[in-house]
Parts: sequence; structure tokens; C-alpha cells
Amino acid sequence: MTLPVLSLMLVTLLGGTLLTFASRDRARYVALATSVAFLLEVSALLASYTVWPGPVNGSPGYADLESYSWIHLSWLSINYTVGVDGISLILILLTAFLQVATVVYSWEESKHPEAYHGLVLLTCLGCFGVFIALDVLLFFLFWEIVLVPMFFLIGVWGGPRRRYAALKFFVYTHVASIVMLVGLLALVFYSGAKSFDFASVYVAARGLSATVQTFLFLALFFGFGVKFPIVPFHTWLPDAHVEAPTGGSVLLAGLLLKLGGYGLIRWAVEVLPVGMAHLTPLLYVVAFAMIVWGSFVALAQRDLKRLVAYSSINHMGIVLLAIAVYSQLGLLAAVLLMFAHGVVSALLFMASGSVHHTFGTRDISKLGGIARTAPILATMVMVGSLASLGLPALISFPAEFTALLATWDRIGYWVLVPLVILVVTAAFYLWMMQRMLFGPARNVPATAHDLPWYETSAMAILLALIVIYGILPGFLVNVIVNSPVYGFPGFP
Amino acid sequence: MAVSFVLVGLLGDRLKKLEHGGWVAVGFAGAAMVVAVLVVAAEMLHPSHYSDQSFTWLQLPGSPGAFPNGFSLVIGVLVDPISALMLLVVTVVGFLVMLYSIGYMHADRGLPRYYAELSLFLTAMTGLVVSDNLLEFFLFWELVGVCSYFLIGFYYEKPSAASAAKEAFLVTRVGDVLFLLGIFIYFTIDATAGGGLGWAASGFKFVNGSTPFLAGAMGGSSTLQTVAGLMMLAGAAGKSAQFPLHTWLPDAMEGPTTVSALIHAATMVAAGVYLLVVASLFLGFTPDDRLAIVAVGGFTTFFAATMAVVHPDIKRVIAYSTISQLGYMVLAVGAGFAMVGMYHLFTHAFFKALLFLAAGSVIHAVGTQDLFKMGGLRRPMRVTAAAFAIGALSLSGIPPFAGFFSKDDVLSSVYTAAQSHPAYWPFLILAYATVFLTAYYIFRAFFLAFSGDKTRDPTLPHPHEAPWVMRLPLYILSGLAIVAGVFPFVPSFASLLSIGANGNVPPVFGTTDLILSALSVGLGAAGILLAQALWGNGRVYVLAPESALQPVRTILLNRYYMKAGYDELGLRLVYGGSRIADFFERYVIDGTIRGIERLAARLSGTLRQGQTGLVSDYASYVVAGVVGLLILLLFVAPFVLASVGGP
Repeated sequence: MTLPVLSLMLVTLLGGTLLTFASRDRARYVALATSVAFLLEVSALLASYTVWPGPVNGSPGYADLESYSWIHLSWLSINYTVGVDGISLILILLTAFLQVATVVYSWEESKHPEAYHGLVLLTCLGCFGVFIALDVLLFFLFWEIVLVPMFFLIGVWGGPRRRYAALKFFVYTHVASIVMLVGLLALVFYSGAKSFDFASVYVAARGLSATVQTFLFLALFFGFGVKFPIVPFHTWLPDAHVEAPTGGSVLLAGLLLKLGGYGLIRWAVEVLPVGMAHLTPLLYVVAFAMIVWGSFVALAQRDLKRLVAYSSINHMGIVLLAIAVYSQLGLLAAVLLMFAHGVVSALLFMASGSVHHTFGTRDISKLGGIARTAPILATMVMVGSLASLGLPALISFPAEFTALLATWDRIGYWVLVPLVILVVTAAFYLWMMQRMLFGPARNVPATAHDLPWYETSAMAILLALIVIYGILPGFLVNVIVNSPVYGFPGFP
Repeated sequence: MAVSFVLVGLLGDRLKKLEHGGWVAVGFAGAAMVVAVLVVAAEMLHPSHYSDQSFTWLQLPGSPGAFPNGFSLVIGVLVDPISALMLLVVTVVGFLVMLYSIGYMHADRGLPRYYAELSLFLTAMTGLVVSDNLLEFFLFWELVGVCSYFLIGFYYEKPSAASAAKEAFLVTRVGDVLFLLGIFIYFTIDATAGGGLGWAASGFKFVNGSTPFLAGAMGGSSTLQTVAGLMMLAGAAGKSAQFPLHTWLPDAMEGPTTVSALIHAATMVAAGVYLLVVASLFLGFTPDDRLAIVAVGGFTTFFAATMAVVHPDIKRVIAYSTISQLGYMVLAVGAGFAMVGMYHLFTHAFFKALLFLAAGSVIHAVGTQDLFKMGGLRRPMRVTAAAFAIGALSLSGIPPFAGFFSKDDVLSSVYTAAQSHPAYWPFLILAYATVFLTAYYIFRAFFLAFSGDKTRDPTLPHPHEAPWVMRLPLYILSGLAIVAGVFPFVPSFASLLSIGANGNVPPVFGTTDLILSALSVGLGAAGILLAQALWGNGRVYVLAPESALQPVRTILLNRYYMKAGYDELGLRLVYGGSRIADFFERYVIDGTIRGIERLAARLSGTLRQGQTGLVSDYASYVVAGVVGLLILLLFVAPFVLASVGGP
């Protein structure tokens, strides 16, 4: 038994969170130290691998596996089981980066900074837990942990309609959680798995009939899908984003949406391939609906944050599409795109936040000429937008390219739907930039200034990621395709 | 290897540039030009030489359709005859325009941004030219597009410039997404076609070591291949502003004139033609593709020229002329004479850059682009006037200027192809008609700007000749516009225009038919004479208000209402649709939710005691619900499922 690395990382985050809550004036330093420590741990973890474990005798194998008995009864056993593969590692890396960036961005948060930073850390802790949990109950526990701090982040630090948005967020995601939990428990009990461990559930689920797999997949798809968010259960997202504080938006778009994608891949696609095959048409319909709907509605938005929120729906639609094609290439594209979208949307939400407190409004039609008044901010908006619309040499391009190629390979000319929508996506970003960044300067308050150092630094981190991984995505690809799922029997 | 130095050099310049003025950029562009000349010399010494260096960019897993075993994507540098030739065009014009910018942009704000973007553009363009596979081509293709976007919007505080930049990006984007589909199709064809192509195995490169995968090897004329070819055409039409995606190029004249000369005349817009050339060499077109390409090119040639006839703006006249000339190149490629298209691309780059830079010199001097305000500039600006005249003569196809040779070659090659493809005839006729129009519109511009005694608008500043940094490029380009046409008569240079040993690519020259040449020169001369008659010596020809041509003129000035139509389409259909979607989103989808909320609130009147408003309480209900559901699942569902044949 080697070092329990993942548990140590969890403890780092937990300790950091508690310390942050406890420390009054120094909260941001503690939070930053914790985040940096966590990022270093993640880097060390990534660097430590030369070989990833693959499936063993038809059951999946994960790296840095730890398993301790937690609840043991004659008819079931619940364990504390954690482990990682390439897919979760990529998302953990994303978590670490976004955590650092969010803490730095919120450096001057004045309203209860210890609680704010503590909740940010707690959100990241929950996400990290979701990505490493390999036990049904543990997974659910972390999944629920994420909701609480986000609820408070929106409800306390949010905008004017924060109570409504927070409650809406909570109710939506909670209803979905319950359906998901029911689905997961039913999965365990129907399959007759003797333990809640992922590996035993995975093996046991092979014996399920197609009908049952289909029903279970449907429940899980709904449960994970609301987080995606799938159309038509997506309206919590724009409201939550508009009201959430910038840090909350960043985590919401950057991480929370990825929980849905990750959960779907890990607990539904890997475990219930037969059920998925029966529901593929539904997945396609939902994915296309998200892509088309998100893009079109985004075009009509005047609030910058709402625009970015709807573009998130569009991008997560492509993620869902890439999952739906059910191939190695598609899965790679989905994970890659989740990482890309996490970084890009985080940058765009930070930029929206900065626009708001520099100019006092996020209404695109009231802004103008930011390129002259705040050139650094304008650059950030520009790079974020160009990355989001899929410009090569920036991070989204390799992801979208592979996603669309995988789609073409599986469903042929249907790929024209997302392709044509790429033009609409370009249109709303370019139009937004034309109105907001260019043209004569308008509505510039006397206090307007370019970004303070901490906002610049936070965005610079993301910018660097966008460019570096845009030019050299090979590292991410290598990590992802070494996941056990790529070796699963029957995975094309 | 030499070429990768070019890439690095230009990237380095981008970084250093930010502190200094444009001289750093000029220096690096000059270095790039020297390297390009060396590359060309090397290629001339070794005809049909292919040298390729690449590394794996991405190693991708499989997809069950065409790539069950995964595949790799590479980034590489391919130096072959055509890329050497194109490299020469890009770096020579790039260097001269950079140099010219020192004088022309002198008084503008944001110069570091200008030179950085221009350098980035040159880097991306160089990368595009030396790409050794389609994906890499696309990657740089998009990057030159975004540089064009930045540079059109250089004066971003002008609303018209910001709008033109957006339009350029969006219209070309339509072509780009189709291009992307074309890439997917080619990947599929080449991964599944077999036949020992080795395309997929090599990372979809155009060459295998130093052996090109020439189009003949692929063969076949499946529907898939036709579609792929059409997608290449769509991509090229977006970039090279061919009908119906041409509307952005005239508006792109909002950018600085130097940008128009480099990006929107000589290099980037020619990238579309270059794509067609590359595709016809390495991928191959089916006969249906050919006809479509001929139709688009032939029609655009004529269509754009008609709009140039009436336009009052000197830059826009030249812009329409660019669209029209690109149409000639597309026409030649479609007719099966890709190298003839390259030949015209080569000469056109020089004389069109010359025309733009001369126009820039005029604009620099008088501060307006309106031809009707100019006049009599010949005397104060002798060099500029001479340069413009040389460019105009070359464009009109008057011997011995460069344009004569290449345009004549285009026409005669289409004539040759039409012998076996009767469907090409209408487009050949349009192409000949365009020769007349071309000569007319460019000399109309020339006479309006330069002839007469004085400027028509007396408020214009007193014109003066440009400084030496602007004149030097004019001299050099004038020289090239005169002699570039005869380069291919030198055998070693001609080898750059013949792709290789396999011999399945037609030769550079169509037919050398003196009657055809005389026809085109005659049409050109007639156009010049008509322009002289109507506009010479400072005359301004005013069409009578009741003239039957007046409605035609209105249509032409309004660009056949296509731009207005697209705007309307975008506004009404797309934006209108999005407004409706937004309405539906707010009031139907979200409205339903709110309705449910309200209903729940009313119901809760009876259950008020339970509604404490505390999340913790709700959570406990949730737990109760879960337990209830579990019971349902564990004890009720088995019976249900058993009855439908569950586990």
C-alpha cells in the first residue's frame, strides 16, 4: 500500500476550508495557500504516473485506489473507495486551476471574506470528491456537498434577485439529485451488487436486462442531465449565473456543469452501455436541442452574463453530442471539451464580472468602446470569445474538432447541425464584441479604470491555459485516453 | 527547415515588436523574404522536389466508422514547387507592405498593435502556405482570418470598421464550417479508400516522405468525393470572396490601405485559390466539382467587374477588381489548369498590391477615397501616377505587362477545356466580357484621380508625393508588375509551376493562340479607349437622369442588393428567430415553471405548517421522499417489472 494520496489531498482541502472559515482577516491568504498547495499536489499526482491501470478481468481498475470499509452489513457493504483515471484527473486539474483563479479573482471580497473563500473552497472540495469517489454513497455525498456552498454563494453574495435564483438552483438540482440517487440505488439493488463500489456495480450491471438498463439509464440521464443542463430543464442556469457573484459563476460554469458530464460518463455510460444504446436517439435530440437552442437564445441576450450562460448550454450540448456518439474519439472529445469549456467560460464570467463593476452595468446595448477605456479587459473578453467560438490555437478548437469529427463518423451529415450553429455562435460573440468593445466609448463612469492586479492575474492564469493547451493539447489527450474505459470490452 | 525559421522569426518579431516601432517588423519580414528567395532558388535547382518535416500533434483514439484503430494528426512543413512560389509572393509583398507602412501609418495610434497583428498575419500565412496536411491548413486558415478580422477593425472606434470586421469574419465563417466538413469527408475517404494511399497512416499528409500523393492516385468519382470538393469550393469562396460569399471584401476596405494591399489583395484572399490548387493537386476534383468551380469563378469574374464600373470609391473599385481577378484564378483551376490559376495569382499579387499601394499614396496625400473629389493628381504625384498606370495596364492585360501573360493563359486554358466541356462556354464568354469591363473601370479610376488640371474638390489638402519608404515599394512592385509575367518563360522558374513527375497535372500554358490573344488585348484596349473618351482629361461623365441605364446604375451601386439582403436575412430571420426563441424561453419554458411554483404556493396554503422556508426542513422532506421512493422501488417496482419481464 502506497501513500493514500487522494485522501491526503482531500484532507488538504478540508483543512484549508475549515481554517479559512476560522480565520478572519487572513482568510484569503489561507484560501490561496490551500489552493496552491492543492494545485501542486495535483501536479505531483499527474507527474507521478507513467502507467495507468487498465481493466482487470472485465472489471475496471483505477489508479491510487483506496478502499476502507465504511458500513458493512450482511447484504450490502458501503466503502470509502476513491481512485482516479485519466478522465477524473483532467477534471481534477481543472478544479485546481479554477480554484486558484477564483480565489485570486476574489482577492478584495469585502463581505464576510472568510465565509466567501471558505465556501469557494468547499465547492471545490465537493467537486474533487465527486471526481475521485468510486462508491455510490460517497459519490452522492460529495455531489450533495457541492450544492450547499453554491446555494449560499448565490443567496448571500448574489445580485438583487439572489434569493429567487438560489432557491431555483437548489430545487432544480436537488430534484435531479433525488432521481439520480434513486437511479443509483436501483442500479445497485437490481444488479445484485454486493457492494456499493464502482467496480462491483460495474461488473454486476453487465447482467442486467436491456429493459432495466434502459430505465436506469433514463433516470441517471435525467439526474445528471439537469446539471448539464439539458433542455428543457435548463432555466435555472441563466438565473443562477446572472445573480451569482463572479466567483460563484466561475465555479458554476467551470465545475458544476462538469459534474453532470462526469457523472453521466462514469456512472451511466460506462456502467449501462446497453441502456444507453437504446436511448441514443433521445440523447441526440437533447444534444441538438441544447446546441441550437443555446446558441439562438444567446444571440438575443443583452446581459453579458446571460449570453455566456446560454453559450454554455450550447457547448455542453456539444459535450452531450460527443458522449452520445459512443466512441473512443467521442468520449475523448467530450472530456477535452469539458476542460476547455471550464477554462473558457471561467474567463468569460470573470470578464463579465469585471465589466459589471468597472462600468456599472452588463447590458451590452449600454456599453461601448471598452477597447479604448479598458484595453486589458477588452483583450480578455476578446480572447475568451474567440476561444469559445472555436478559433484554432486556442483550447476549444482541438476539442470541438474531435467532437465534430466523431459525430461525422457516426451520424454523417447530421453534423451539419452543430457545424452551421458554429456560425451562429460566432455571430453572437462577434456582435457582442462589436457593440461592447468597439465603437465610440459610451457610458464610461468617472471611476472606470482597467483591471486591478488580482483580476488581471486570475484571468492571466486562464489565458495561459487557453493558449498553451490550445497549441499543445497532446498532454490532455494522452492523460484522457489512458483511462480504463478505453480498454473496456465492447467500447468502440 | 529553412521555412520553420521563417515561422520562428516572425513569432519572435511579434514579441519584440511591442516596444519598438515598425522597423523590427520590417527587418523580420525582410529576413523572411530572404529565406523565401533561398527556398525558391533551391526549388529551382531541384525541380519537382518535395521536402517534408512534421511531428505528431495529436494521437487520437478510434471511432468505429472510418477510423477503428485511431489516427494521428500532424503539423509539418512541406516545401514543394507551389508552396515555394506562394511563399515568394507572400514574403515579397509582405516585406514591401511593411516597409510602406512605416510611411503610411506614421501618424496613427496603436502602431505596436498594427505591426504585431501584421506580423502575426505573415506568420500564419507562411504557416498556411507550407502546411503539409488539410487540418494544419485549416488551422492557419482560421488564424489568417482572425488577423484579417483584427486588421479590418484596426480603426475600431469607427462603427463602420467594427461592423465590417464582424461581417468579414462571419461571411468567411460560413465557408469555413463547410470547409471543415470537407476535411471530415476527405479524412473518411482516405482512411477507408485503401488503394495503398497511406494518407491516413501518414496523418493525412499531402506527401509520403518526398513523394507526393497526387490526385490521380485517389481516383474515383464517388458522391462523397464530389461533396468534399464542393465543400472545398465553399471554403475557398468564403476566403477568396467568390459569389455568393463575396460581400465582405468591399467592406473590408475599412481597414488601412496597407492591409487591403497585403491581406485583401495579394495574399489572404488568394489563400482560397491556393486551397483549390492544393486540393486539385493532392485530393482531386470530380467533373461535377469542376463545373461548379468554373461556374462560380466565371460568374464572379463578371459579376464583380460590373459593380466596379460605377463605384466612386477608389479602394472599393480595386476591391471589386480583386474579386473579379480571383474569379479568373478559380475559373482556371476549375477548368483543370490549376497551375495557370497559380500563375495568375502570382502576377496578380504584384500588380494588385501595386494598385492598392498607389491608391494608398493618393489617399495619404489628399485624405479622401472619393474619386470624384480627386483629379489632376498626375502632376504633383508623378511616381504614384506612373505606378498606378503600370498596375492598371497590367490589370487590363495589355502586353508586355505581367497581367497580359497570365490572363491570356487563363482565357486560353478555359478555351481549351471548353472544347471538351461545352458547359464551360458561357463562363468563357463572361470571362472575355470581363476583360473589357476591367480595362474600362480601372482606367476610369485612373483618369478620375490623375488626369485634368486640378482637384475637383478644392478643400482637399495640397497633394504631395509620398516619402521614400512609400515610393520604394512602388518602384519595386512596378518593376515586378512589368516583368513577372515573363518569369515562367525561364525554364527553371517554370518548374515551380509544374507539380512533378507523375504528369497527371496539365502544363502551365493552355494554348498559345494568337487570335485569342488579339481578342483579349483588343477588348482591353477598347475598354481603355472608352474610359478615355468618357473620363479623360478631367471630364466627368454624368449619366442623364432619364437614361435607361439609370436603374442599372442604381442596382450596381447597391451591389445587387445582396449585402442589404444578407443583412435583412441576418436581422429578420436569425436575430428575429432568436428573439422569438428568447421570448419562448422566458415565458413558455420558464413561465411553466413559474406557473408550477404558483400552483405549489397555493397548495401550500393548506400545508402551511410544513412550509417553514428553511432549507433544512425541505431537505428532511427530501430524505423522507427518498425513503418513500426506495420503498417503492424495493417492494413495489419488482412486481411491476416482473410483469413486464424485468430481471
